Amino acid sequence: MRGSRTLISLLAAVAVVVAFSPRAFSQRGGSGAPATPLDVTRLNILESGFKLSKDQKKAVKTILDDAHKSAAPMREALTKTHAAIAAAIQSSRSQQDIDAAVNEYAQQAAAMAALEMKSLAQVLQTLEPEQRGNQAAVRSAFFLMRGVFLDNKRWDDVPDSRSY
Amino acid sequence: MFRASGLIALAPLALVSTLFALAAPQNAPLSSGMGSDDTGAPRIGIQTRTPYEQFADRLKLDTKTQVPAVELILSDAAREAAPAGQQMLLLRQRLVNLALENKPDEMKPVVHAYTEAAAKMAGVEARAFAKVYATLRPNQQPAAPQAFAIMAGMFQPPAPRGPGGRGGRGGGQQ
Repeated sequence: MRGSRTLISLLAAVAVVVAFSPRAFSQRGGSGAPATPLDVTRLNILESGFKLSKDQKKAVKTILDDAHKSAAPMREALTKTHAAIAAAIQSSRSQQDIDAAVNEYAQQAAAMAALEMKSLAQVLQTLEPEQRGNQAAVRSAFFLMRGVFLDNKRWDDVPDSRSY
Repeated sequence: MFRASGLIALAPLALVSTLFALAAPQNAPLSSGMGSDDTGAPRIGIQTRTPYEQFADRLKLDTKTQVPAVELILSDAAREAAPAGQQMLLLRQRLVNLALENKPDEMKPVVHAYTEAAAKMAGVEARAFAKVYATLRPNQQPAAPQAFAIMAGMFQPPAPRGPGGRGGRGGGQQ
């Protein structure tokens, strides 16, 4: 009896700690939560760099959510065409076949790059002139967009090593 | 897995920064600002394995007998890929500026140029992969497709250090 009470107390303590941890406070892609070193997301980086207002943050999130959805066919094609290059090499196909696979992939890469840059332009257009004048934040956003839509589920994850 | 000296040799960051600054159009509404000082905003401090380490791990390369050869292949490929990578950065900058100026028609030739640069980059990746593949033992070859997936963008110029700098990707930022 005493043991089970101790266990319940322990579980309750763990629940409280988890519930009030910075990670739990932060809302991936949400709003209102301060960014912490443990919760670096693309949106938080943009918010911090440009000092986005609540409304601006919401607008940026909407832009990138929509772009992420529209990127789905490109994302799939990028994966498929990149794998086709490896398959061509593995099966000792002709150089002509490998070049064709490379060109297919390059077309998808260009389409994705165009989408990323258009989305960045949309994001920048939501800003005030003084925010856009922050060159360090612009630079940060510029590089932050590379590969932003590669993940199937979310664009907001911590920038990782995936690229194309 | 890879020696630091080898990775340093891959780093084209300074060159990219210079080219980027020089090539930025004077009347462009925005430039990347590469080379400017940091704002002091929080940096990303998360440690991840570099793509090179992931690549070597995925293939279970032998540290003594295979890693040095693969390292050399990737170093050479990174050097070969540098001009294409720089071109891609510049074209991305042009794309964002044209989008800001609402000139979709002018974006088309830039996207075409990007396709050509991306094909050069992918060609370098493919040749490097083929060379690495030729050195693999039969029991390592099944993992080659996954390793090639890791190579995607491996030779892209790295993002500058600082907020939003992706870290861990690109030629030698590791």
